[in-house]
Amino acid sequence: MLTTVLTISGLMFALGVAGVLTRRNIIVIFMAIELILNAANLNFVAFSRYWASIGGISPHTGEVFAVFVMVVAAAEAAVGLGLVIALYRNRGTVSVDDIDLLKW
Amino acid sequence: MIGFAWLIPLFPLAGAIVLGTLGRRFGERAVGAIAIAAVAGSLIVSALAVAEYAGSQHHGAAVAVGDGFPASFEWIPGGAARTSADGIASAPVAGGLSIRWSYSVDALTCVMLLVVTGVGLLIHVFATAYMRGDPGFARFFAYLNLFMFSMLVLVMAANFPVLFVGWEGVGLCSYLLIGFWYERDAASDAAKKAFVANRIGDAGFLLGIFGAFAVFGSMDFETIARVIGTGDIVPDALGEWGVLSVIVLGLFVGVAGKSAQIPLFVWLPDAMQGPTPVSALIHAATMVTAGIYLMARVHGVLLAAPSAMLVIACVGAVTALVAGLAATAQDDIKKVLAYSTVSQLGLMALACGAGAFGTAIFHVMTHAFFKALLFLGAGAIIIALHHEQSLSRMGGLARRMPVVCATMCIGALAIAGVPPTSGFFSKDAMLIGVLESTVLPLPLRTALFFVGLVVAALTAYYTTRMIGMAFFARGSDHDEAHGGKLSVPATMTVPLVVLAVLSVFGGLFDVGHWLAIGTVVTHAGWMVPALATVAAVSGIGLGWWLTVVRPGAGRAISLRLGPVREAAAGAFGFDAAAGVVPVGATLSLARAAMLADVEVVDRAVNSTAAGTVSGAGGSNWTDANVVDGIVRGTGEATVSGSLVFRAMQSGRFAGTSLVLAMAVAAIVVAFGWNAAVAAFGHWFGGGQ
Repeated sequence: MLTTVLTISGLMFALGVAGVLTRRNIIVIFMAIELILNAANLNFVAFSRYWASIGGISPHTGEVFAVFVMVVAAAEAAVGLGLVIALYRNRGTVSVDDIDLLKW
Repeated sequence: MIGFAWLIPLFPLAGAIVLGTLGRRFGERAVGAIAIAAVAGSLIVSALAVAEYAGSQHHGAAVAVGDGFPASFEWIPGGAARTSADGIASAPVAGGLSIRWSYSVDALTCVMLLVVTGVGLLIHVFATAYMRGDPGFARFFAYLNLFMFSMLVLVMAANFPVLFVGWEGVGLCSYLLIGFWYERDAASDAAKKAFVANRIGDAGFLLGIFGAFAVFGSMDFETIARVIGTGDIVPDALGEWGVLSVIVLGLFVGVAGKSAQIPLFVWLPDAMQGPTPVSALIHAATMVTAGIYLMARVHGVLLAAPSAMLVIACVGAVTALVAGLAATAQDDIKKVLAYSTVSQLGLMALACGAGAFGTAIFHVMTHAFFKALLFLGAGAIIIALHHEQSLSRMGGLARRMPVVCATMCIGALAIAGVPPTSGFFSKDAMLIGVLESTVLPLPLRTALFFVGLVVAALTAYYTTRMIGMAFFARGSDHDEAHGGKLSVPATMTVPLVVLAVLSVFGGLFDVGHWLAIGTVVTHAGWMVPALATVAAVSGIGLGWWLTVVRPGAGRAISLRLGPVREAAAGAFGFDAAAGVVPVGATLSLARAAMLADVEVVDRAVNSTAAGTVSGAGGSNWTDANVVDGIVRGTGEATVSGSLVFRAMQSGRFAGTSLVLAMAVAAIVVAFGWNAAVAAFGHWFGGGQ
């Protein structure tokens, strides 16, 4: 059971990373990051249930963590989208290839 | 009034200060009045003090003037007396030296006080007329009053240091007044010459003072005289050159500088560049006699050093002869009088060397009268003829300025030593003093006596020549045919008349007898007076014949004597030698110094510089290649290194995050794999 969930989680993480690395649009990259975070959430929940099934010390810890992650992700999305809007207003684009001010 | 004698020098000092600071705001009358009043004050106090001294029982002894400031005070305080470590040397050292500023009055001081203030007053009066209209009128009288102050300090000093202050003060004033018309090159050169010659003399004088202090343990004249009187100091014998002789010779070098003896006399003829009243006061009547005064003041020391006295007598005689001959060949009326002064000072030095100090002071006094008279007369002529000084362009002035003529003739008779003028008595006394000297050996003193006679004849000759050429010769530019009487103001004639009276009757005050120092001369016998009179009369006769009766013959003889006359006019090469010898010595010393500078110092400097330059070259190379190389190499390495690394900084999100992801993957692979396997392997294995 756990193995299945972890496999799915791993696939989601890999999909997220691939999305971050390959996509150009910041909005899509954000969505990929959400995928990575939810892969982690899936892990939290899976391990929480696994520990509970073998008599772990603290039930539902993982679930709580997952909720926290969701809250943080929501906050992060709000801040991130704000930044993206500010960026778009300044530069007229949301393509990461055009945002290369940090180069030498 | 002896207790108030300290006032005597203070009057002219006050006058000098007032005139020196505020003089330019006053008119000439006020300036003259202040200057004359200052000297008159000194004369009055001097006369009262001398009267008290002469009437008291002090005869011969020195009386200290007052006690306490300002008459007498500790001038240079000394520490406690100390002796050297071995305790043997009891000679005073600087630690025990305490110098008081103090005056004393004795018979010698009395004579000098009256001469200086009396003649000084007359010359001040004369100078108000002579200097009329000069832009430096106030400055002149400030200097003249300062001179009076210094001269009075000199004659009243109770010890060597105070005397030396006066001595240097009169030297300074002499310098200032010779160079009074400093815009003239000749005047400022003459002033410098006088100053340098006097400094040379002062060096010897100082050594003499130091020697006296070392030997006698004191610089007070009275103490020195007392120490000699005790007999603790063994006098040198004739021909013996002990420390006393050296001291006396040192003092005599100072005397030679101040009183114009060979070889330092060369400044005095040049000093005639100063205004004529200065020549009369400083360079005839008073300052130049300071050396004679000094010898009389320390006659006890001189008498203890007969070898040195012999030198003094011989130098004096040679000076008198050389200067007397030089005076016969001068054309400038003031130079005649200047060389005459040198000659008379030589006679006085001769008398001092013979031990007849009193007669020398007697001659100082009479000489002050008639030489001041002659100089002032010459000054009257010079002013009347608008600064004409050449005798050959004068002549026939007797009718044009009768008072000057009459008084100068009296002065001439006096200096020639015609009886019964003052000069006859004083010169006679000096000649007897030489002949009867107890110091000099017999053949020498006879020889010196005849030198003295020759000088007396020369004196009569050149003075008569001067008078004849100025007043009685005919056919010159300023003959009476060319003008009427020349006006001479009363301020000039009155001093001339007073000095003429003193020149005639001054011989009645036989101060030599009154002073009673050294050989006391009594006028006994007829031979010396007769010889002196014959010498004077023959000199006068010759001079009169060659200048007035047969001026053509005089000129012919003068022409035939050509080279000799030239030599005499230049004082037989002394004047030139004075320029050549010290200057030549200085120049060769300078050349040697230059050679040393070029060969040693410059080479050292140049090689140091060359070494520095090559060292700097090496340093420069090191800097350019090593230090700069390191610096640049660092920079270049950084740049080339950065080329590699900056390529990574694409600034693109994708590239950066790919590297990030790969790095995380690498870390996971490196560290996480084994741990993951260890922790979950069984589970992975079990799970599958």
